[in-house]
Amino acid sequence: MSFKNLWKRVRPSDSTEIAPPTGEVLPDPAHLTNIAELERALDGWTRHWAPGEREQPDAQLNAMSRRAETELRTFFGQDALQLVRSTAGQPGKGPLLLAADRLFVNFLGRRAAMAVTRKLYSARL
Amino acid sequence: MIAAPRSVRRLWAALGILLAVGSAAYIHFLVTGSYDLLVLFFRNPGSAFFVVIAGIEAYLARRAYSQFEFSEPMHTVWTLVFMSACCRLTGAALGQVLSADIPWNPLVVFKLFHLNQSGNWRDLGLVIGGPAAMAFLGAGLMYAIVLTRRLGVLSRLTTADWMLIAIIATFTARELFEIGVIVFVRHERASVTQTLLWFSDPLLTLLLMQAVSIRRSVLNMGQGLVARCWGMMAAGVAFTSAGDVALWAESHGLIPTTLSPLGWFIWFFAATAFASAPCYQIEAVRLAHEGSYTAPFSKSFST
Repeated sequence: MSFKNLWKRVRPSDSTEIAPPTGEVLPDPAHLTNIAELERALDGWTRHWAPGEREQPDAQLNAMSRRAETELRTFFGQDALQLVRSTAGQPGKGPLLLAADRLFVNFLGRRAAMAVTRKLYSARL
Repeated sequence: MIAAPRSVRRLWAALGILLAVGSAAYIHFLVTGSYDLLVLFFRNPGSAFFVVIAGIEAYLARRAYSQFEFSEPMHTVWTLVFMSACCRLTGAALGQVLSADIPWNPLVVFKLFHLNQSGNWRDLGLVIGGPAAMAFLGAGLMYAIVLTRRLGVLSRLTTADWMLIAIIATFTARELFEIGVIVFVRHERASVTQTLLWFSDPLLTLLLMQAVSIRRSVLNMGQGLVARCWGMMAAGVAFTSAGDVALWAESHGLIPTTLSPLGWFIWFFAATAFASAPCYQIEAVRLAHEGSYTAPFSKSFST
C-alpha cells in the first residue's frame, strides 16, 4: 500500500458522529489488535469522506499536523520541517501530513511510519 | 536537539579509551624513537577494535535492514550497507588477525599459522575490506541519493563541496598516473591483489562525491536522528578518504616520520563513524514505535 493511500485511509472525517453509510458495525479502536484491523477500521471511517472536504479547516487535522511537525523535527530536524512546510503549504493542512508521511515511510519504513501515524491519530482525540 | 543514542555514546567512548592508550604509545614513540609500543598497540588492541567494531556495524546494519519490508527502497540501501559491513568485518579478520603473528590469532593458538601464507590472507583481507566493501557502500549510497532526490531533499553542492571533491579527484588522477607509469612505461606486471587495490581510489572518489551530496542534504535537513545517521555515513567516508591520503603522503615521504603514526589513527574514526550510522537508524525506528501503542487510540495493540 502506498503512503498516499495509507494517508487517505488514516485521514479522519471532521465529525465522529456520522454513521457509516453502509450501516456496518465498525470495531471499537480500543479493541483493535493489529495493523490490518486498524486499516480496515480507518477505511470504514473515511469511506464516506468527500474529496471536497480536504480543503476545509479541520481542528483535528490541525492537531495531527502539530504532532506531525514534532515528529518531523525529531527524525529529520528543524530545517527539514521548514522545507516540508514550504513545499507542502500552511500548517494545519493535509499536504504537510502527506509530505511528512512520505518521509516517514521512506526513511523509517512502513511499519515505523504506521506507528507514527497511530501517534498522529491519537493526537486528534 | 535529541541526545545521541546510548549505543553511539558507547561506541565513541570505546574509541576514546582506545585513543588514550594509543596516545600513550605515540608519546612513548616521540620520547624514545622506538616503534615497539606503537606496533604492540596497533597489532593487539588496535586490531581487536577493528574486528569488534566491524562486527558491531554488521550486526546493527542487519537490524536496520530488517526494519524495512523487502519492497521498500531503504531495504535495498541497508542490505548493501550490511554487505559492505560484512566485507569490512571479513577484511579486518583476515588482514588484522589471521595474517598476524599475534598470540590471540586462532591460527597461532592451534599452531596452524604459516608465515609464508599470512601474506595471502592479508592481501585477501585488503581486497575484501577495501574495494569490495567500498563497491557495496557506493551502491548503497547511490540508492540513498536517488531516494533523497525523489523526495526533494537532495541539495545542490556548494563551491566548497566541489573544491573538496576536486582535491580528492586530483589525488585520484595522480594515483592513476602512477599506475599508468607502472603498467605502460616500466612494463611491470602487477599482482591480482595490486590490480584490485587500484580500484580503491576511484571508488573512494565516487564515495566521497556521494557522501558530500548526502552530507549537504543532511546539513539542509538539520539535526534529526535520520539526518545524523546519513551524516555519520558521510563522516565515515570522509575519514576513509583522509586515511587514504595520509597513507599516500606517508609513502611519498611528504609527512615527517614523527607525524606519520597520527595518520594511522584516522582509520579508527572511520570505523566508529560507520558503526554509528545504523545506531541512529535503529534509534529513530525505536522512537517511532515508542508511545504509539498507548491509550486512547490503541490501548490493546500488541504488534
